[in-house]
Amino acid sequence: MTRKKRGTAVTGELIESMARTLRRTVVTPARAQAMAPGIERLTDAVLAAADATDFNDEPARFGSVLEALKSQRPRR
Amino acid sequence: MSDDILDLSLIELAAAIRKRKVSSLEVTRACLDRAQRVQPHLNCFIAVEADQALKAARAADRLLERGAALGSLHGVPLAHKDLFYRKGHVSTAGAKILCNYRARVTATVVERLQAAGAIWLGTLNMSEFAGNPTGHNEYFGDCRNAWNPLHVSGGSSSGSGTAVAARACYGALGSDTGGSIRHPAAFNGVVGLKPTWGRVSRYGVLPRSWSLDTVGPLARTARDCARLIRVIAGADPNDASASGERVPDYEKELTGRVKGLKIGVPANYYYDGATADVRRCMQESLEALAALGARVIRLKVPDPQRLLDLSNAISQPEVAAVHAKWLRERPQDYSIWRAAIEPGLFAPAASYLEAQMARPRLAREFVEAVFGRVDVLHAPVYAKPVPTIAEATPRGADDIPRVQTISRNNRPANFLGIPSVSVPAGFSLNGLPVAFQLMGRPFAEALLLRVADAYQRVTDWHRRAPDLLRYG
Repeated sequence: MTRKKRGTAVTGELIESMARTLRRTVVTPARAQAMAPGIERLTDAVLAAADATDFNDEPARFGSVLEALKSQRPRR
Repeated sequence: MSDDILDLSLIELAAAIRKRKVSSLEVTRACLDRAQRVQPHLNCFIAVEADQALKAARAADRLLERGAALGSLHGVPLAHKDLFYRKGHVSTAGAKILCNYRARVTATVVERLQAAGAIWLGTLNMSEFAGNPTGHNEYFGDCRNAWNPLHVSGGSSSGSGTAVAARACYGALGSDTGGSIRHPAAFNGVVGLKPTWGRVSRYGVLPRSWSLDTVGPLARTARDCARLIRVIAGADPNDASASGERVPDYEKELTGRVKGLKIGVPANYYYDGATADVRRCMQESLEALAALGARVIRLKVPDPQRLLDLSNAISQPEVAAVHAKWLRERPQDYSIWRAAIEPGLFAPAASYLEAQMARPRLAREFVEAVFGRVDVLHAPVYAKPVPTIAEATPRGADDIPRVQTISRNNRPANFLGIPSVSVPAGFSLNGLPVAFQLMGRPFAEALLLRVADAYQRVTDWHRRAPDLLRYG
């Protein structure tokens, strides 16, 4: 469970394998290779954002937060 | 005198305090004494907060003397699974990782219990991070069954089931993501209510799996649970998932009438591998309800195994997300049950969301197919006798799925979001409690409690207590 080091590329082979085994979907090697950098970018973004989260941060709190924020005034 | 007080139900005690037949201080002392006696043998508490409880009890008695307006739980000692936050207090979730964690907020359910006048006795043992159905806990020690300490208490609200059965408190909160209220209630011979998803606020409660987590009471009778659920249920601006559905006066609905009600008995799944003694208890409970005028109808229910698998497809990624940081940084601080969390890291997001997308349709199909024909569904909580701690200890990470089958009859209701109440229904050949559960339509808690209460009016399983004299 060690964190992926930056620069450890998500490969086309990994995408192909995941598509085949986890989603029963065929992805050509060329297409898998093309998708890999984008998937790596998203994964890195999520891991970076997750560093700032707390285990109590529930997704459904989004609605409550919007509700709470609606009446807040600008700070003076 | 102390032990006599402890045999009262929560409802009886609340009335006795109100009528000044007993003081809150007297009964709180009795609970603390009982907790002290059983703790070395049953390990149901994580922390007993004696000074604070006695102080609160004295305050409750003073309020009574002054003639102040009283809440429905005034002066009643309760204790709770150690995942309900109180601002500034340690809430461990039964985990080494959180053994010094101080909560930054107070749970809505805790505020509501306090407002109703309940006394907080302490925090109760639980499975690590609410994660196993047995009550095993490597860090705080296993919680043990009140009827036989060699047997599991059931989890994950292990201390809640054991402490209520041991008469160390009159009721307890638990949480239920896949049976965690119903297992310990069933295994210890008390009543446990897993409400409809959204019926009770989860704000300030340590999460396991947001889409499946529910909070509910364990107590000795259905009537006790009716009192507790009324206090804690209802909308909460801090929890967007808490429903605004009206909260009924559940106690008023306990009319004792079940005549003409249709009670469904599943012809598939729920009795797989059932032992003869558990079948006998189920049959006798159905006969008792039939004698009250209910009609028992056998029916095939939509594939619960598929619902169980889909509940895991939702819970595993959610659990993994809650724990992802600790899995990276502190994997060594988990017990063997870490192995039940890790798989969720590798489920594709699209698969998780497809399971979520299927949920409303499957819930509608199940409710229409089952509750279009019957009013409630009756099934064993666990179709075998309560196992020993040794039998239910995983022999390795690969053995965890075997132990997890304990929850097979309970996880489908969490996926469906429907309520379910566990009711004591006798004893198996090994002398441990057996229980049936009643499931119903969403927000049918009042009906489930009415049937459970009617059953308890003509049976005495809930009045039987484990032999606690062995603990001095």
